[in-house]
Parts: sequence; C-alpha cells; structure tokens
Amino acid sequence: MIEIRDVSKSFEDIQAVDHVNINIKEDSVFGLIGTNGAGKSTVLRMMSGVIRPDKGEVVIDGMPVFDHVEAKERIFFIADEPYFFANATPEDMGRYYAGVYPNFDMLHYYQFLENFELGRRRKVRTFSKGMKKQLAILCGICARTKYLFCDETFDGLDPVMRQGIKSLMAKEMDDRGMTPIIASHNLRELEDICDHVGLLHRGGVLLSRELEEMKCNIQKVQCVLDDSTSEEEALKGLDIVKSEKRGSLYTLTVRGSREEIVNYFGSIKTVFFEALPLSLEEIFISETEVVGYDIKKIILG
Amino acid sequence: MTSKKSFWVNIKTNARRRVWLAVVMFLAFFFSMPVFTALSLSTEKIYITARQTDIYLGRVFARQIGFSGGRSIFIGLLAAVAAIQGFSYMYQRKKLDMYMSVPVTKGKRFAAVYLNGFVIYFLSYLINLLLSFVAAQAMGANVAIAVGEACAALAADAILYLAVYNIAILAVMLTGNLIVTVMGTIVLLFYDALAYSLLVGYMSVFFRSFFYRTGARMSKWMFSPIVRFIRLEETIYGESVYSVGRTLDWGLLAAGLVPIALVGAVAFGLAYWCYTIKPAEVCGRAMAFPKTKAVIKIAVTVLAGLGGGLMFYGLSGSSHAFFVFGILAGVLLCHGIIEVIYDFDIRSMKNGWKSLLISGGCVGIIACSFVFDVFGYDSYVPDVDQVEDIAVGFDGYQEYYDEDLSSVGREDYIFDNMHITNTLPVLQLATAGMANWDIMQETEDVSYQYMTIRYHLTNGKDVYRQFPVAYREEAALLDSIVTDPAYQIGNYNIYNEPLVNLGDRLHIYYDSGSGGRGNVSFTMAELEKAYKEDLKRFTFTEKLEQLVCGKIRMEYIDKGVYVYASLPVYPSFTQTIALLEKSGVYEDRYVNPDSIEQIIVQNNNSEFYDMYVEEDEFGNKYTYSNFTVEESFVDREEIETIIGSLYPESFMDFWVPDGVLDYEYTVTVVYKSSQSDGESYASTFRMLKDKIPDFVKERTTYKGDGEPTNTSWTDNAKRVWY
Repeated sequence: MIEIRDVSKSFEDIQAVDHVNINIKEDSVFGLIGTNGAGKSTVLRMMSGVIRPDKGEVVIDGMPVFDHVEAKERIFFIADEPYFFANATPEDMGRYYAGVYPNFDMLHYYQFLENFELGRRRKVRTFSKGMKKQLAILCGICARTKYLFCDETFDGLDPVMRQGIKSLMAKEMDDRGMTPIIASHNLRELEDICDHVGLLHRGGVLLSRELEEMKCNIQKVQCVLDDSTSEEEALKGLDIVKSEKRGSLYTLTVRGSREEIVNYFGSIKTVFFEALPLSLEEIFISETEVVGYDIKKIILG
Repeated sequence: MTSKKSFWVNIKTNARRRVWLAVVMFLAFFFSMPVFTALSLSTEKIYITARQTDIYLGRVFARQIGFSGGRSIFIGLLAAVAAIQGFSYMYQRKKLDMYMSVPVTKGKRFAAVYLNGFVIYFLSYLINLLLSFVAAQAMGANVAIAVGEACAALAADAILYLAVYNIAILAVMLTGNLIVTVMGTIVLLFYDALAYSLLVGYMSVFFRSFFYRTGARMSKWMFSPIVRFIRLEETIYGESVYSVGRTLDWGLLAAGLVPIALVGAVAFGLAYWCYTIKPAEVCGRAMAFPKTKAVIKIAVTVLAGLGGGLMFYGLSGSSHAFFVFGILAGVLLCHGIIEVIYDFDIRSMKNGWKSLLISGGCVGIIACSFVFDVFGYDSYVPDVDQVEDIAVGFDGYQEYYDEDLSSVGREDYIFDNMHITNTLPVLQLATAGMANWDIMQETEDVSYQYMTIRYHLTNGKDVYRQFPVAYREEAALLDSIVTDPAYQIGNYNIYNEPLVNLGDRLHIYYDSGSGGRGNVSFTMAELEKAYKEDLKRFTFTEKLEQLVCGKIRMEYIDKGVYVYASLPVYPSFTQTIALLEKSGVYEDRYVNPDSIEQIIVQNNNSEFYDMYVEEDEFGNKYTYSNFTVEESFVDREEIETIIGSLYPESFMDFWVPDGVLDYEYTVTVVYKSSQSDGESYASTFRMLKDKIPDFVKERTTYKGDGEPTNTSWTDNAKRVWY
C-alpha cells in the first residue's frame, strides 16, 4: 500500500501541495485527477522519491520512499516527459534498467519492442513523441515493479496504442498484481480503467474514493415539476451540488444514491423525472465548482 | 546484491555517456604531452651542443613533463568541465525525474559520477605520459632521468585536478543552471585571489608605508588552488625554475601540495553535503539555496565596487571623484547583474535594495578605512616591549647567495638574517620616519632615504613597513644601528656564509674605479678578517663623509654556477687598504692621468628646458629635448684637474648620499691604447657636485638661442613638457 501522509510541498512562495492524505491500495488502478496546477505531478514526484516533501511523508509498503532503494525497487515512474540517455537505443535503456531494477524482464522487453515495432537498435532521439511514450511504458512494465506511476502517460498515444497499453497493463495486473497510479487530465481515459480516484484541487485532496462509490453517490437528475408544486418545497430535501433550469426543465446534480434519489422524487409531484449516472468528467466539474473552480467565473470573470 | 550491481551499472552507464569527455581529455593530453614532447625534442636536437646528448635531452624532457605551474590552467579547465558535465543532469527536470526515481541511492550515484570524472582524467593523463616516454626515448633522450619528475607531476596534477574538480562540483550543487554554475566556479576558484589583489592594490595606493613583503606574507592565506599551484613552481625549483637540469625539492613540493589538498578536501565535503540536501525542484533556477543568494551577491558586489573604485582611481590619475564614481558603478552594475541572473529577468535589476545598501555600505567602510587610514597603518610603530627583533634595509645594492649558491634577493636576505634586538634606536628612527611622510613634501632641503623594516613581534607575527629617513638629521641614531653586530651580520655580504665559505676558490681582484682588474695576493680569510674589523668601526656619519674609493670583486665560476660579489672599500677601511697596498693594487685616486688619452664631458643642460618653451595653438607647452653639450679634454693639466672631480659610475651600486654627485654631467674617460693590449677602452664617471672645475662648466654650458645642439634626432621629436 502507498500512504501519502499529510504531505505538503511549496516551491518558493507557491504552495503546490497542501496537507494531502491519500491511501492507495494494491491490485487496483488509482487515477489522480485534478485541476491545472493542482499538484498532481508534484504528488507523483514525491511518491517517486524525486522530491522530498516539506512536511509529511510518502510510505511505500511501510518504507519511506525518499532515497530508499528498497522502496524504489517497488516503483517505476514514467514522467510526463520521459528521459532517455543521449544517443541511447531501446536496447541501451533496457540494459540500464536491467542493471538497476532487479526483476527487469529483458526477454519480454525485447518481445514488446518487436510487437510495438520499436527498433531495439534505433536511436531513441529519432522516435516520435508517441513512440517515446510507448518505450517508457514498456520499460516501466518490464521493470516488473509492484507500482507503476504514470504522469500523463497516455497523452500522445494513438487510440490503438492506448488500447494496447491498457490491455498490457490489465494483463500485468492479472498476472502479478501490478498497481498503476495514473495522473491525467483525460478523465474519459481514466474512467475506463480506474478503480479508485483521487481528486486534487489547489494542492489539496477534494475527494479520494472508489470510482463506483463516487458515481453511486452523486446523480444527475432531470425533472419537470408539477404546476402545483413549488420549487422551494420540492427541492428542499435534496443535497444539490449544481442546479440549472431551462424553461420548466430542471437539471440537478444531487448527492445521494440512485435509490435515495428515485425514492425522493417518487414522493413529490413531477411531470417528468429521470435519474442519470454522472460521468467522471461531470463529477470533476461539479466537485470543483463547489469549491469555486467554476467555468462561468473563468469566462465571465 | 542489487545495490552493488546497480553501482557498477551506474559507473558503466555513466562512463558510456561521457565518452566525448574521455575523447576530449585524451586528445588534449595527447597533443600536449607525447606530440609536444616529440616536437620540442626534435627542435632541441637541431641546436644541441652538449656532448652527452641523451642526458641533456632527458633533462629537457624532464622539464617538459615535470611539475608546471602553467599547466594548472589547463588541468583546472579539464577538471571544471568534467565536474560540470558529470553533474549536469541536475539542471534538467526530466533527467532528475529519471535518476532520482530509480532504485539507486544518492550516495552511490554521486560516487559513480565522481569516480568516472576522475578516472577519465587520470587514465588519459597516464596513458599519454607513458606515450611521452616512448616518444622521448625514440628521440634519443635518456628518459630514466625524467621518471621522478613525471611521478611528481602526475601526483601534483592529480591533487590539483581533484581540488578544482571538487570546487566546480560545489558550484554545481550551489546553483541550478549551467551559466550560473560556470560563473560560480570562477568566483569560487578566484575570489580570494581577486580579493587579495584588491587588498594589496588598496594598500599600495593608499598606504605610503606599505612594503610589498606585506602582500607576499598575506598571499600565504590565499586558498585558490590554481593560484597556489602556479606559485608553487617557483617555490620548489627556486631560481633554477626555467633551467634545464633544475632540481626538484620534494619536501617543498609535498608541503606546497598539502594546502591545495586540504582546500580540495573541504570543497569535497561541502559539495557532498550540498548534494545530499539539494532539492530536486531547484533545477533550472539560478541558486539552489535561497539563503546563499544574498551572501554571494554581497560578497561579489563588494569586490566589484572596490575593484571599480581602484580602477577608476588609477585611470583618472588618482581622482577621488572618479574613485567614488568607480565604486558606485561597480556596486550598482554588479548588484543589478546578479539580480538579473538570479531571476532571469532584466526588470529585476532594480530589486534587492537591502543587499544593495549593505554592499554599498561595506564598500564605503572598506574604502574609507583605506583612504583615511582609519586603522593608523601609516603611523604604526610597535611599542618596544611588543618587538622581539627588527631587520632594516637601508644601504645600497649587495649580492647574497644561499646554500646552493643561488642568488638571494636583498630584502629576502636581510629580513631572514638580520635580528636586531637593541630595538630602541630603530623604533625611534621608525617613529621619526613615519612622521616624515607628512612633512617631507615641505622640506625640500632635507635629504631622505627610504628604509624598509620588518618588526618581528613577540606574538610571532612579522610586520613590514617602509618610511623616509632624514639621514643627515638622524645620523646619530643610524650610527648606533649600523654598528650593531646584528645589523652588520644581516646586511653586509662579508657575513654571507655560503659566499665566504667558498674561500680561496673565489677569484679576488680589485677595481680602483677605472674598471681594471688588479689581482691580489691575500687570502679570503685575511680579507674577511680585515674587512669585518673595518666594518665594526665604520659609522654612518663616516659613510656620509666618505666616498667609496675602490671595489673588491669576488668571482666563482663552476659548471654553470656563477657567483659574483663586491665589497666597497672606504678610505677609513685601514686594515683592508693595508692588505690591498701589500698586494700593490691600491690606488689613492680613481684613475691615473698618465693612462688617459682624453676625457669627454657631456652636460645635459637641463635648466634650458625651462627657458626655451613653445606653445601650440591649444596652449600646450613644448620644448626641444636636447640641449646637451659635449666637450673633449686632452690637455694634461685639465685632465688632472678633472679627475679630481670624478666618481666611477660602476661604484654607484653602493650608496651615495644625496647632493654629492651632479647628474647633469656624464664623463667618459678614454684610456691610451697601451693600457689594454693595443685596444682603446673607456669607462664612465659622474662628477662630484662641489668639485666640478669652472672651465668644464664654462665649456659645456649651452650658449645657443634655443635651438637644440644636435637636431639629428629631435627634428620631428618634440615632446610635451608641461
């Protein structure tokens, strides 16, 4: 398990991460989402032992990660801009990682290079951005670490490759219980694969929950109230996160399970009523809007 | 097991990525060692005249590959490049993300990069050193001679390399990008040398009593390994530093390398400590640790301000207004530039007013302390109970030698060998001398002679000063000083043991003033005894009243060693003169009129420069530069009269009081051909001011109308007079 215990980090006057507490369980896919500048990369870099938190600590399987070889042998960090040695080939990189990661699987690595059509003796600097990402992911997977940290890793991959990499990750999870931790803006991408989501905003954690649980606890409701029912009376029993009205049609984002919501609307007079599950993107927008990250504010000022 | 393996993987990977550095180093050493050796020995062979060619070439080779101060710049540059290149991954976030996230400890990563940087250098050096031996052997040199020198240079250069390497790594750790690292390396390597130069510069400009030895003593506290290394070459080889067959003093080499190694060790400790605490997030920033920003900024700005002030003071001909301008320009510019570098933003030039004020304040305080001599440097005379012994340098030129019969500088000899414990008269003289600084401009009729002094204080410290002595007025004090045995032992070269111990191997002859070489019949022991006896009674007052009447010259030549010394003989040196008379070489006048063919007197007539002045259209004043009148005298009577007023130019090495000689006159005495194997020869004299015959004055005074006497070289050569 990875425990991020009350971690804070500031860069000069900017508080990048502020008292973050997250626990990441094994055998699941953890999605780290957040607004721009929320501190996703900083959290990942602290989890990788690249930067040391000002306060708190990151513990991997009971071991603090910073400058701790044993803890780092359990992680592989794929940065948003992966680095490869100057003039190195995939073979060189593999050899290097095989030297530092005790379980690096060279045989599989070569197979993957062949399958992904990445020339093992071709210089990495001649690769496209997407190919470099593929290579970084292959290095990470073949390092056979327990945890794989991916920072915007799927950016730049074409849909086929994205699917291929996802399948590869799924297989690794099945085979040896690999736990990917993926930071991304692409919420649709994460929605497909994440079991658990941590939402960061302005350096703090807005929420950290199982994706299903998160989805179950917030609903989008569209309804038209009966003329005899007053709006105030009808909606006062709901925990409304967001509300919009077009004509007589209400679109509400409401906290609560589907069952609770359906039961509630069953008890009031409506012309039309429908409860829809929220996408991760809609949850993100709703939750951040609550804390003032509102698109209207950004556009209208 | 994994860690051990990863360490070697790191070493190997790091080495693989630094191939270009290895190639650059190898080529640099290849061309500067074996190729240069072959080239220079090849050239040397063309001109060689030595009988034992192989040994001579071996020595030439030994000097080439041996310890070299000049090579320190080259070695230092390679070390800085290796250090910065090795740790340059710390400048880029994506590199740091990879290096810091892989399971390798920081310590092992440091060790891998550090070791590679040294091993690449050392192997390149060693291989090319061996190739140099092969090249030298092929050129016919006896290379066995050079083995010791090569080993010394290998070890010394490695120590220097490590010192500079560690300092450059420290600069990498303190900074966050390449440009600032390079500047930081330069600051760390040369800050103290620059500070030292400025300090000596300020002292020599603003303190009249400053004596250069003060600066030499302070230079011992310089830490810059490159500067120390350059200076070490002269220390370990002494005077023979540039000669073929120079001998290396291993003890001095080891002693000289210790401070360099210590500086390197301290730099290593600091560099590693900074490495362990340097946060990854500072990559790309100017400075890694915010707390060091202000310290470095102030330190550099203070130096720039002081340097600007001194530079403008010198360029403006000692204008105090330009001095202040220079300080302000130095402080403002340097502070602004550092702020721009810190923020990578030109608008930041105006930032940091607090540090600007502190820097300006420091510069102001330091500059004022020099300008107004706040600490009383120019009036310092220690109390009598603070002084253990004193050495003074006052007399004219003398030659001294060390145990290896290498020449020793006058001040070096005196300050090492003179230990006057009867300090009271010297301190009284020093007190008067320091006061003279303020009054000497207003007392033009008083003759002054500069005295250099070394106080050896009871706390073990040596303090050096110089001051003007009104020697006629202070003759009584000077009498007691020059007759002090401690003064005589430290001042007169008859007490210089390596010289005197040559004994009768010294060829002794006497010059009465005409440049002749009269062979003597006495031994060195007899001369030593007589001369020391004469010196014991010889007071300063006597010296004022007498002129040197002859010069005893001593020479020793053997296998490239040349020793030459001379002893002045004064008329009161009765015992020495008795020895000379016994040898039949003593003469009671400088030249014998019978031997003279003619005397040519040249009078510069300098006073006419003031009388014939022209102005150009801008009001600039000019004068012709030559009003010299030359007159030849052949009449026997005139010659006899003139020789009574002559003083040999060759005796002017010895001290002559002011006002005795008239420097307007230069006299050439041409001897008859029979005096020198049929060849005419001549010697040069000066004239005694009070004894110049009137007919000489009359015939050599300029009588023209403002036109120069000899226009052959002055036609187009007017010069600015005012």
